[in-house]
Amino acid sequence: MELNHPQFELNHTDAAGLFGPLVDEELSVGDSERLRAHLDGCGPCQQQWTRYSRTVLRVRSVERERAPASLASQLARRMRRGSFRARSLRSHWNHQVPAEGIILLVLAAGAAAVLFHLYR
Amino acid sequence: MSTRVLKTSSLDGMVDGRAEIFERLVRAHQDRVFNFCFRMLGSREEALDLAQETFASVYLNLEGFRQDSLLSTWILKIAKNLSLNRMKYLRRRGSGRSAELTSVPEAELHQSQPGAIGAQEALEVADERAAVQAAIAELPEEQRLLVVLRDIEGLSYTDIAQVAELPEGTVRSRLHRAREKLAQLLEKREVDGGTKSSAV
Repeated sequence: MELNHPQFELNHTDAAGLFGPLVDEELSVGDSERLRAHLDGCGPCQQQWTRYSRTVLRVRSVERERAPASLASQLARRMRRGSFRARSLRSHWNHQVPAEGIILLVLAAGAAAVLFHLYR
Repeated sequence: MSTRVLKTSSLDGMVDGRAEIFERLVRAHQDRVFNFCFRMLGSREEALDLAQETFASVYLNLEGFRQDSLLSTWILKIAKNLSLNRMKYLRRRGSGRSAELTSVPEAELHQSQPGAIGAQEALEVADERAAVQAAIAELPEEQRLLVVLRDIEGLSYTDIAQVAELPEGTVRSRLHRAREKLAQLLEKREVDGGTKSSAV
């Protein structure tokens, strides 16, 4: 998004639209200068920019979580045992069918068995 | 070992079933996958389980990798799909977020920067980490995904578009809204925190 006419002045909406590219360091020199000029003369936009850039900086500064050191060797062991497929199917089943559904199914099967015995 | 090297040299070995090459691949990507899963789910336990699922799926679906994207992008796409499924499942069960989001165990505070900073500073770092993670966890799923991919994982917009399966322009505009929303959430937490502490 190059708004590079030398006399072009940004309105508030255009300025806010450039916050993302500015914080990502993707703004051309011209747009960057125009945005800075707008921010210098516009208190509310300056405030909004400070809030926006501070948020991005805070997120980027958060320490990364590291995987447990044993993860790779655990997975390699599972791979050698060939247990990926079984686990994957079990996990699929677990996450597609809620526990409540399984309980209802078991209760229904029990009730059916009782009824079957009573009326046989 | 770069992703490109892995992409070209490791896959043949993996298809041949060489566990040690798979282990190398996991080591090269495990921190990114684990961190991504943790940021999406907010729980170390869930993240570990999901990271294992992701690599199991990588192993099982390797033949489906078309090599038209980076291996790391493809792996993150699998992690993203599994994360979204897991989040739906947890929501259905009513156990969306873990307590880990807002509380950091004391032992962990001292682990994070051993000896480098004082206890007070360690506490501030841990509070900041917890506050940011809690705010991220309050974002709607898609906004959370975009913030995590861009501002935590540092992916390019092209790679984010592939992982999120959205056009690049859409990624940019939705990420902008996500950051605005995150700013609001962080401010709200600061105001609430300030109100609570001033009430004490």
